[in-house]
Amino acid sequence: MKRLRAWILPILVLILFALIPFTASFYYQQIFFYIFLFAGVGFAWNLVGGYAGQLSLGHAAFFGIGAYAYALLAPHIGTGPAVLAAAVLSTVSAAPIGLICFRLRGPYFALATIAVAQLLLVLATNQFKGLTQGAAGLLVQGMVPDPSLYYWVALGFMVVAFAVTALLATSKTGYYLMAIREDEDTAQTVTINTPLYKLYALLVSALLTGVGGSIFAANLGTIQPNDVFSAAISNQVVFLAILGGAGTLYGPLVGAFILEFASDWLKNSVANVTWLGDANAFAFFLYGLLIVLVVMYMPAGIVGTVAKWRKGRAAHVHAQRTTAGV
Amino acid sequence: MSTHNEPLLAFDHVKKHFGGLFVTNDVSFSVQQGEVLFIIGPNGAGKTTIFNLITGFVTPDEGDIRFEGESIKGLKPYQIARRGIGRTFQIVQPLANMSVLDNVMLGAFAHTSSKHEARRQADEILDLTGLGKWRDRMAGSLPLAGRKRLEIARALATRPKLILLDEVCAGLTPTEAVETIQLLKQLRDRGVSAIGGIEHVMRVVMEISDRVIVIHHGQKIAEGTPQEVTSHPDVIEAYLGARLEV
Amino acid sequence: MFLQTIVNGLLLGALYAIVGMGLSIVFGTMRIVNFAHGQFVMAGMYITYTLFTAFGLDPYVSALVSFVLCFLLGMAVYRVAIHRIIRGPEMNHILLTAGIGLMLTNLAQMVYNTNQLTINLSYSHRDLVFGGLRINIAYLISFLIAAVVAALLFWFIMKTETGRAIRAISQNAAAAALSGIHVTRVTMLAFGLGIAVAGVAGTLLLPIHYVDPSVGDAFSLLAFIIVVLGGMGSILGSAIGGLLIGVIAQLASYYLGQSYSDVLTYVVFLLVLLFKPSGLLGRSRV
Repeated sequence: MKRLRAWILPILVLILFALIPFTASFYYQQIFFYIFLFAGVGFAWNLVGGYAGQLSLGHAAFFGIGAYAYALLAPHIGTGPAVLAAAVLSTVSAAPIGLICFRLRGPYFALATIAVAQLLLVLATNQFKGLTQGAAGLLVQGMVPDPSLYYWVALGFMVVAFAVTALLATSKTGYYLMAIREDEDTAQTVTINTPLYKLYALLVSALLTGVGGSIFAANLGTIQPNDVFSAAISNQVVFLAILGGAGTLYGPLVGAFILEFASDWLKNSVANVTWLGDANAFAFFLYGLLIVLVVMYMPAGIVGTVAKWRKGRAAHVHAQRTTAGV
Repeated sequence: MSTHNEPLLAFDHVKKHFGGLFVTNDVSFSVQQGEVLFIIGPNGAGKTTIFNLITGFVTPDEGDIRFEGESIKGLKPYQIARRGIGRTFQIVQPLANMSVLDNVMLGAFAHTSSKHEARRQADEILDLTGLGKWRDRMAGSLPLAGRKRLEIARALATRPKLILLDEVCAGLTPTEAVETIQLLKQLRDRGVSAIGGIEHVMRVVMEISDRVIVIHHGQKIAEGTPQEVTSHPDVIEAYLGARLEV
Repeated sequence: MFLQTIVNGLLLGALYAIVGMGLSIVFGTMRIVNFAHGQFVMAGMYITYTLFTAFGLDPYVSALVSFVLCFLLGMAVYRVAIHRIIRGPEMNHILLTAGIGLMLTNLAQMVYNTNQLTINLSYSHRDLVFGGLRINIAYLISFLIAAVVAALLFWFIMKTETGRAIRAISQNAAAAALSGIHVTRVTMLAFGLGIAVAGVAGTLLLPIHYVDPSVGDAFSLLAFIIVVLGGMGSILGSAIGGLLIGVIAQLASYYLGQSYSDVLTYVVFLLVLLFKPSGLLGRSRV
């Protein structure tokens, strides 16, 4: 019974999402495309950054590898195999990156992940210009015949990403990752092979992120290294997960939803306010302010805070009942 | 216990130094199956280092550590935990943002992948350790005695053969200390051996310890029954002639 | 030419050194993981740019203004935001300061747009020649001032009462509080000081390095690279780390091409993190 009830909300939401393309313009379909895509990548990040508590600020590395693997291979091996190749290559690349970065803890881990992503950005822009066309941009073969169909691709990707992370997060693996987040030494005392589980989380995360990168590239049609390897990509994924609630199941979707709509609304509503200067910059300024406020006043994020509040209320009700019973 | 048998744990001429200072200087002792051993020593004497050496958080410079006859020197902490050695920390480290139940389930997952089964086992242990009333509370919100007990419960859930309890009684009221010792008795009755670390000689501890060793400046200065140890001149000397509370 | 490249590297490295020393106080000593450090360097650059274009103020005079403004800005940021989360997990330090960095970067973009700005001094393009070595006067003056700033900072931390308090807190905040040190006030002061030094570094960089809103992120990462390379908690280490990064960047840039200076910097950083995580002069950290 309880199990069944847990499924009602996600199914209703899914039905709602499936109805949108029939009512919304292409403009809004694209907004939803980005919500789904980044929510999916946010789910992937959440395994490592939220559940396992390893603050990766370099997920653009896997995003970019997936994007370029798809872009470079699709014309030769076709769409499906190219997406598969993007998944495999981003997963494989995560092994050495994980082995290097996971030797470090806390801020040093975060710094190492930034350095790896930045290194790949510079390499893709310059040293591998022959392959990537550098800043000139690389044409990317489409995945679907009609641009409006990307809505479904992104929705499908998000559902898969959610299913994978939810399955892991609510099983023994999820408990183990949370134990690692709370205290790695203690986790080891209850027999958890912490390096292995961290790497496992990163590999799954990188796989999904790489697929996300390939969809992003196909939808864009042409990519430069800065589109996919930049810190802006890494940060966006982190921020939406934190805003929605790191280490919660639905957090990344809630975060992606709010961020995309807020930034779209902001860009449109302040576009003509000249004294503000660059409307885009103003939007990002508020974005920064939002992050500061969330960390200061709601570090558990929206979903995490609501869950805590409900749990607190449930405990309260429970206490009242017991008192009444006595 | 017969002396021909290989002890459960053999701590064999272990040396460890940090910088120029020996924190464990040629210490040897052993724990037999079903035995409760207490390590007594003032703060900074090197008790925690001994616990860290046994559980793999620190590697010995010299000497060997054997568990059930096999060397566990150089194994990772999680590998040693899998062999059947559980531990608690001197500074309690409950996984604060997980519930009491979740904490104990973590231990139970050592033997099952099923959440249902892990929960069942965890509930059993929560009952045994008297933590059932706090089952759904966040671990971080428990009082110190509760958190200390939770650490024991979590370690127990991994079904250890030997459990190490660093500073079991530190920070506890006399009543809470007695409760903890009662729990140790129950464990011993179930065949779990234990090593407890403690700062001062306490009567409650003496009642259940089979043997006591005294560590001072990284060296073992006495070993024996509680009575023997408390009358040992070196021990009295180490505690600056302070009257021992026996 | 090799010697000339080394000299250029040291001249640039001296500025990197004080960028790193500022972060060393904040991160290495006070354990605040400040991802907005580079944005304060950027702030120093824009302050200097504005004073120069509006009033013709010489950048080496406006260093003082940068110092004071950034000091106040830093203390305000500490008091309003960082102080509230300082006891929380380091992950929150990173996210909070990254948010502050994003605010500053985009504030700069709103005011100054994305143009690469620089200032032209009458002596910007004059060189001194020693034997075969050419030394740009702007670089030389910046180098000398950086050396003075570094020396003053070192003296302040090692010799003054406040410096001792800062070091005491870095060793053990609880014990420092027990011995009568006002931990919050001193931490705020130390944070302000680190930010002020970043501002001065920005001023000294401007005559030789353009400013645009994106330099903040670049300098933040660079500052962490320098601190880690030099060793956590060692201000002298950061100075040496800065010089070293300057030399590495110049050598890579000259012999391999511009883009290799970043590649090599990141690779060196990752190698140090992996094989000598305590840095060149740092105490080992467990």
